[in-house]
Amino acid sequence: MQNKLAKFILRYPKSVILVSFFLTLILASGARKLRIDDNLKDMLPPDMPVRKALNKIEDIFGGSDVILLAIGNEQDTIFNQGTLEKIKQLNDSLEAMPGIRDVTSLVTLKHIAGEESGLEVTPFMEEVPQTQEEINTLKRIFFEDDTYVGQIVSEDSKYTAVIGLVDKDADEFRLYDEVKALAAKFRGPEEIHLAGFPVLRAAISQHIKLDLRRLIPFVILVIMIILYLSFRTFPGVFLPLLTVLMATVSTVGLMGHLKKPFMLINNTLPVMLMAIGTAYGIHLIARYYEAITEGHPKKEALEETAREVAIPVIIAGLTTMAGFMSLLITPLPKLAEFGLFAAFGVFMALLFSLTMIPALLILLPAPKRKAPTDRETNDHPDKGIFSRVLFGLSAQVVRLRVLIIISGALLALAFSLGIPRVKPEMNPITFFKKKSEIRKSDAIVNRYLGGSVNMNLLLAEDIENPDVLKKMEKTQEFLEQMPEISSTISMATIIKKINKALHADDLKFEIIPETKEAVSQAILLYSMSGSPQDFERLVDSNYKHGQVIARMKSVSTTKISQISREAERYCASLPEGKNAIQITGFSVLMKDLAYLVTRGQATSFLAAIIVIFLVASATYRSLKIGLLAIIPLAITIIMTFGLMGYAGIAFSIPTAIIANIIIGCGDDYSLHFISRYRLELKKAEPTLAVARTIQRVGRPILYNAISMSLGFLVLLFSGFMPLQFVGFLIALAMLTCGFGSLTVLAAAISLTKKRKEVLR
Amino acid sequence: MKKIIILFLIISGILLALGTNRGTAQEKLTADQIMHRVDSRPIPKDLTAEMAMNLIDRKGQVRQRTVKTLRMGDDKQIMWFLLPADVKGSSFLRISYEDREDDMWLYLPAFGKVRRIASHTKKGNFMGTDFTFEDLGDRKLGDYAYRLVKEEKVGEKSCWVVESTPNKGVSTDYSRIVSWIWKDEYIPLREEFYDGSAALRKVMTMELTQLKKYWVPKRVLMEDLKAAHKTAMIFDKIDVDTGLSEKIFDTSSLTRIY
Repeated sequence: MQNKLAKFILRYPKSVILVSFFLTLILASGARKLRIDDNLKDMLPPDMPVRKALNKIEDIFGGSDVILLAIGNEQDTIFNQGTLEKIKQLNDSLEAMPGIRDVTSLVTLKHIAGEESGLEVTPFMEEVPQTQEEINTLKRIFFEDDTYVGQIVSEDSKYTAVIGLVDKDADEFRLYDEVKALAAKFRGPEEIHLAGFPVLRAAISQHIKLDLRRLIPFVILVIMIILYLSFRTFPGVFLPLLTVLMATVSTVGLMGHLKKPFMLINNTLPVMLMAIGTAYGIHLIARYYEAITEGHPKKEALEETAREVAIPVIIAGLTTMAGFMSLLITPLPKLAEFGLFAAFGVFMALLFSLTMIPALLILLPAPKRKAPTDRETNDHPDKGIFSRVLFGLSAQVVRLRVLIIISGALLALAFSLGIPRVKPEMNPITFFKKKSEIRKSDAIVNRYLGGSVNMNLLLAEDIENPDVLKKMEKTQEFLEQMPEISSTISMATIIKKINKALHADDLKFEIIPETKEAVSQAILLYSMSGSPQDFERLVDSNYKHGQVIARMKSVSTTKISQISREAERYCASLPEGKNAIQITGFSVLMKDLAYLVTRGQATSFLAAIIVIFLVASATYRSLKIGLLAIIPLAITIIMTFGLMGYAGIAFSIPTAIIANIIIGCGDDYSLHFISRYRLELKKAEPTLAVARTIQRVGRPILYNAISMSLGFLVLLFSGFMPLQFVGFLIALAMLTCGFGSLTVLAAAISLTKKRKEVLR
Repeated sequence: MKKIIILFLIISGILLALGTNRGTAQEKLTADQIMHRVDSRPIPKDLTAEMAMNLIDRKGQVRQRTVKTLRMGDDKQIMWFLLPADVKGSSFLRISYEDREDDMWLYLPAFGKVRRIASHTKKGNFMGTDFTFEDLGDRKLGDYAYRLVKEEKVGEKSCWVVESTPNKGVSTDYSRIVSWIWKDEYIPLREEFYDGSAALRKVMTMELTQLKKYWVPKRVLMEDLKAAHKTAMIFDKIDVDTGLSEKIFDTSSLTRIY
């Protein structure tokens, strides 16, 4: 089969090249339609209860996330005319901005005051005070009112917040750009910090582009260096590079055609495809050069190459694809999508390597000078430190095999203890480096203004009913005990304030009135001077749905899980009313996402390893060999995740693909080793066969592991922490896996007593 | 002497304006003359009605309140809440003065006392509607500069379109107001309110009904474009000039529905 194909390619090389370019062009044309958008909200399957509750909240109240602008600095008070003027202008500009539902700030928030006979509702700062006396009055009223201290103005008056509720349908990217421009316009001497999930989401999407611009040139450079060191010829460098570039643009183009957004996790694609795909080209060209050196003419050399390496390369490609496709069984549609695109990319790299490279090689003149090849150097084991190490290894593995296996097992055991320490982390703030602007802003907002994260508790009941209000009140009291929650607000808060004001600001009356009439009339009284939009974010216009908004600092996903679990338990324990309080918000969404990613990881990892086990078992018709093949993979996976636990590397969506990459790529080493061992076993007894196999395949395996690692290490230049972790961990895993095949696998395989079991 | 001349000019101006009232559509009037006639058109001495205040949010959900209202001229108004049941019996009294802030009182049966409400916030919304107190109160003729923009029909009715721009120092929410004034009766049928940033903020439309010799509002709709919120005031059981006693407009009337 492969012979016929090879003959066809070699007969019509120009057509093959033309068709390949044409195919690439068609696919790549989709890149123009590509939308870069890391919408974490869409990650979660739409039928999750938390997602449904969030949709309901956004439907009723128009939105749930906020953009927070923190204005001020460490040195000054915000209570000076210049800063107050800026607050007013920022407030007004934000109010006029499309995509902002409403604005909460010193300008819009209202002070509810009681008088001897009535009630007065006035914005804290409708107009900017003009004299020091007016400024002092504003400050005094704000702090006496006490409702918003530590939220809108920090306790020490150094920072103030202008908060925009983001419309659920807002174009967050455009909004982010506009808010950024607004902040830049008013910055100085006051700092202006931006925070909130919409900011994070938009910033991530913007950084994706910047990140790609940095990563792609780097990975091309690294690949070129690897290829140059391998072949030192022009075709040796440019043919594999050309095929992986074509595969990458085809894949990205396909995303555009299918209108799939380019997400953060996709930033690993170019690096991954190039690192993985280059290996196919290297195999082909190395064997071709070898055949030329052996004295074959060009065409014969290529036919020989096709005969010998096409099948191993195809198997390597297919198992890598299988590794990615096992992401299909995660419960997260977007992660499954990524798996499909990655598999498609690998397929294209495989296709172009097997067609374009031979077609181009037959058109190019044969290399004149001898290229260094594996076989040549391996015949002289004394050459180079690399070969000496391999030679030493081959001599010792069988003698020390029990020790090697025990150490491998102990190592796996030691690292496995770290696995339970791996914590999922979905809070997008952790994607940014500690010293980044966005992290600094987040820290300031957490420290001075109570954070920018909302947790929403939805009640679908008669909000004017005092029992419902009391339920809200109790829930709020419970939530406010938690140190991470800085404040809560609901209609209960407002009704209590009105009631207090109705009784001449007597604190005894800061309670929910006893009758529904009293509640309704309190609202009527407020409406005499408030505006109809004042409660829009707390209650719907028919008072049939209400929400408690808990503002909190940005905390880890683990903490969020704990908080929402406790809140859920508390709400369920409340005796009043039959209706459940639904707890949601983007942060809670992330908690569920973490759960799903973790669960998905376990299943997709198992699926991947079973696929490799089956492939190996089927290829060699032996379950034992299938088991042997997955030994280095299992050890590597355990060590990688154990390392994550010990090093405190969080488990996130990008790191969720690590296991699949390791299995899909690392299996090549075991399979390569086993197939060579079977050849050697025909000629020699097991001990010698193991030694010879190590000498033969050691170099290509370690070369491949090193070049793969170097490729993935490019991700260290990413601006996103999780991507850096992915790069680092996979680089390490590839080396572990390669080395593991030459030691633990070699030791284990030599223990197989019966030759026929291996040779069957 | 100067004062006398000015007074004379004003009086003759008024007489002239009154004399040409009920003029035909063909006659050429300046914007100032039109607005003057709007300001001085005859209004009922008193008015009785049931008024539904429908608050309509951006999703079209309606929250309704119904009041019985009595008015005397432009400056005295009392209303009792009929619906919803939870606020029934609540009541509101407002008395306006030429030279000082309005007096307003509210009575809430659940809390028992008649309460005075601060009125200095002109920008506040009335009863949680989209009407601010400014929208409901009369605009003082001299506070604005007027410009006749064009003539246009609203439905079947021919109108002058007049733009009002507040004079310096006048406290208002709006940077300008454009009014469609029905030529036959000098009543605005539509008004557009522009906010500080010159954006169209609110639109008011009015449907009228004829009662005795007056044209009175039957349905007034105020739409806040920014908040995507609407208020419809719908009048029912209207009667005018029934000879209401001035005594009704007193805090003592608040506790019982008249």
